[in-house]
Formats: sequence, C-alpha cells, structure tokens
Amino acid sequence: MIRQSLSPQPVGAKTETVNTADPVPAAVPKLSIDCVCRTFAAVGKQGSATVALENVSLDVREGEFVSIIGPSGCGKSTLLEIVGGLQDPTSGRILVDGIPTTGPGPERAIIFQTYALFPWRTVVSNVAFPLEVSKVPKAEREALAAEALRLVGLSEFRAHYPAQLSGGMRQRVAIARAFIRDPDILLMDEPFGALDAITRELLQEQLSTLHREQRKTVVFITHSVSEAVRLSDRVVVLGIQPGRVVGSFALPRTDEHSDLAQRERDYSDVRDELWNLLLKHGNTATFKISG
Amino acid sequence: MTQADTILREPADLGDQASPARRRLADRRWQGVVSIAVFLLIWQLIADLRLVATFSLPPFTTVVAATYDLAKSGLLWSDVSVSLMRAAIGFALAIVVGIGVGLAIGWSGAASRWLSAPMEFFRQMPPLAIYPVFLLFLGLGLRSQIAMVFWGSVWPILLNTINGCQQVDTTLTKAARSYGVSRWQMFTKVVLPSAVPVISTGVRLGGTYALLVLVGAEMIGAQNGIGFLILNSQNTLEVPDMYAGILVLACLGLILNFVLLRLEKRITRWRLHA
Repeated sequence: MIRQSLSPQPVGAKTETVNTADPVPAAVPKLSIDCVCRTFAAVGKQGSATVALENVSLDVREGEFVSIIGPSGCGKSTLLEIVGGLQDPTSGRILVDGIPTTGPGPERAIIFQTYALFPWRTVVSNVAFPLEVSKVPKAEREALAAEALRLVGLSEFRAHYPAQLSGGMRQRVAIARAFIRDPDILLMDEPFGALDAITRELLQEQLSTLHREQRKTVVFITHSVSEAVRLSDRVVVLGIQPGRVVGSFALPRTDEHSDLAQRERDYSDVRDELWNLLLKHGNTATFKISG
Repeated sequence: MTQADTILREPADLGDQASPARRRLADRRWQGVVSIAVFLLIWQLIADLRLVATFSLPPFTTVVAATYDLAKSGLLWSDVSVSLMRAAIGFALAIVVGIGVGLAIGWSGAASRWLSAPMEFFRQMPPLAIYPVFLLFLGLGLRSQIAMVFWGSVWPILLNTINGCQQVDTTLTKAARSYGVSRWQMFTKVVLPSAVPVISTGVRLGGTYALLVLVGAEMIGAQNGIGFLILNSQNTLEVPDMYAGILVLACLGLILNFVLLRLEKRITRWRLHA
C-alpha cells in the first residue's frame, strides 16, 4: 500500500511519509536535514542574491534508501554537499544520529558523478586515500583496501591507473574508496549519470545488493525517474527557484507483494505521480524519457 | 577472393597486400628521416647548381666537412662545452628558483593575487633587451651570462608552477575535503601531483629559452661559446664554420628537448600517452 502526498507541502513542513507496513521508526533518524536554507550572495552587478535552497527538511531512517529527484538547477547537488559537510548552509543544520555536524566526517561518504579519482594514483592507492589522510598504518591500509576492492570485484586491477579503466570500473573504484572507512551514510550525486545504459543497469543492481547486504543509509540524487523508482525506498521531489521539497513518495517493498502485476501497477502509479510533480515544477527539457 | 571481399576492403588499409617498402613509408619515424633527407638533398642541389651564391650558402657537404674539422681541432668541443656549462647553471638555477618560489606563491592565495601583475610585467621584458642591465650590475663575463639564461628561462617555469597549483580540478579538491584533509595534506597529496604535468611543460619551455638566450648573450658579450662561434665566423667570413655552429646548435636544442620530453613522459606515466 502506498501513501503519497500529492500536493506541494507547505514551506517548512516535514514531508516524511510512513508506509503502513513499517515497524515503528527509531526515535532518532539516522540523518536529519533540518530547515536548511542556502543563499548565494549577489555577484558583481547582479540584482539580487540567489536562493538555492529554501527550508528543506528531510529525515532519513537508518538503512533507508532515499532518492532526491528534481529539475536541473534545483539545488540537489548543493543540498548533497551541505549534507556531506563541503558547504555550510546559510541557516539550518544537518544532524547525524541526532548530533549536529560541523563539516565532513567519516560517517558520511560522497560519491561524485565524475568519479573524482586521483589520476596519478593507482586504483589501490586511490581506494586507500581516506585511510592515508587519517594516518592509518600501512599494513592495515593495504588490508582494508584489498577488502574494499574485493567487494566491488576489482581486485585484479589494483595496480592499474584510472585512465586505463572504463567509466563503470572507475565508479566502482570510487565506491570502494567510499566504503573503506565503513561510513553509515552514502551520499551519491548522480553516480551513474555518465555511464552507458548497460553499465548503468549493472551498477544499479550491484548498488542495490550492496545496500541490502551492508545496510547503509543512502541519499541518492538522480535525474532519472525510473532509476529512482527502481532503487529507492522513498523518492523526494525538489522544486526549482527556490529549491524546496514539493513531494515525497514511499515505494512498496519488493518482498511484500507476491503479485507481480500489482507491484507493477504500484510502481507505475508512483512513476506517474512523480512525472506529474516534475512537470509541474520544472523544465521538462531536462528529463530523460526512460520511465 | 570474392568480389565482395575486394569491395569491402578499406582503400586506406595496406594490409598484407602492400609491399614492405610501402608499409615502411607509412611509419612515422621513417617519414621524419625521409623528409629531412629530402630537405638536405634540396640544400645540396641549390648550392651545387649555384642557384644561390656559394659564398652565402655553401653546400651541405662543405658544412659537414667544416663541422668535422672544427671537431677534430678541438675548437668545437671547447665552444660547446663552455656554452653548455653556462646554460646548465642558469637553467638549473631557474628550475630551483622557479619551482620553489612558484610553489610558495601557489600555496598562498594572497601572494599570487598581489604578485601576478608585476610578474606578468617582468615576463614580457625580452631578456636580450635587458642584457645591458645585467652588464651594469654584473659586468661582462660568466655571471651576467648565467643571469641572462636564468632570466630567460625562469619565467615559464615560475608562471607554470603557479598556474598548475591554482588550476586543480575542483571535484578532486571536493573529494579530498570530504575525507578531512588538512591544508598541508591537500597541498602535498592533491595540488602538487596535479600540477606536475603543467610544471614539467614549463620546464621544457624554459629549456628552450635557456639555449635561445644564451646564444644571444654570447653573440653580444662573450669571447667563446657557440653564439660567439657563429657570429665571429660570420665576421671573419668563415661561412662554413658559421653554418656548422648553427647546425650544432640546432642539434643541441633537439637533444635537450628530447631528453626533457622523455623525463616528462616518465613522470606522467599515468596519463596514458597515445
């Protein structure tokens, strides 16, 4: 059964939607985005400041996979960077396990669309980078890096350079690097956007598996409605100018429905709702028709 | 072989059908050798056929003979060695100062903002034009020559170093920041490695300028060296010697560039040169 909010939420309201079959959620959400605003000051002779994000609030439960979807320029990446600690919000705060954050931390790992691998380092050296920064001893670093590479299936490529790998492989290295400090929260900024359709599907499967097995909390930004519906427990829609939450949809758990047809109907209901909301709030030219 | 096979074959594909000679011609190195040989042949022909006054342009063979004579008498080596020594000292100084100061300025955002205008100004000054300044301060002789080489070659190195430090891919710095790097770690683990290709290009450019400036300085204010050899030969009407000097200089430049290029490729192995 799906509960969904059809109309834009009033500014400032939390938009958490509860699936009726859920167990009672934990008292403290794993990740809490609390009334975050982000304004960029006017540059030069530009008229006024740009409000990138306005009163965005979102609670994410432990182990939940939340996708954030929205038109280009709606502030999704800015929001992710704020959650990751790379930018400070103009107002509002980010809480992890109820504690406000001050900058980046080992419990949150970011994965970028362009992989962000250091081209002068080998695969294993890239994966071990976060541990190097934390001054972990070499033997331990190597063991953990080997394990992370095994997780993504790239052990034989440890001595290669990123330039020698395909896009999909580079992203898997980035995922291995993100996993190496065993973060609780994964922040992914359109991670499969630069890949071809086949690789994307394969990596979506692998991510789904990793998410289930490792029980990570994931915040996933995407342009693709079908990707969001396929991977997530919940999809949040961000509007544009200013960026604020305009809708939130929970998705049926796959183990709940034995009836495939019913499951398909539910998914397409959500897809339709998502599309309606996106068309209403954004620039249609920016969307891939892959739903 | 069917009709279809012949039609489908790419016209440009020499494949196994071409003769070994034709295939070799397609190899890039052979193309280089052959084209230079053709150029030398044309030179020889122009001179032998007296299309240009032999006095002004002796045949290639005469120039080679002159080079051989100079080499045998030891004059060539004494000039080359003194030139190389001057260039090497000036260039080495330029590398140390250029990279050292460049990194310091690259590290400090404020320094680069303040210093960029004066640096651009100084870099525009042609070294030969300010040679008289060096002569005033350091007199004629080794010191002013080295200073000239230094001035000529330091600017590309310095400016490329600063540029390299400032143009790091922002996604990389974001990723590094998300892992909590300190400022020093960011500089040594991200900025520096990222800047290496740009810096080494600057060094290669500096090397080219070093030789260039040196020859000019030797022509104006030296009693030996390749520049002196070239100009003096022209003055004393020993024209083949003049061309011999030019030829040797060109070869030195090629060798230097080749060595620096190989060094650059080794350092940036990770770039996967095509």
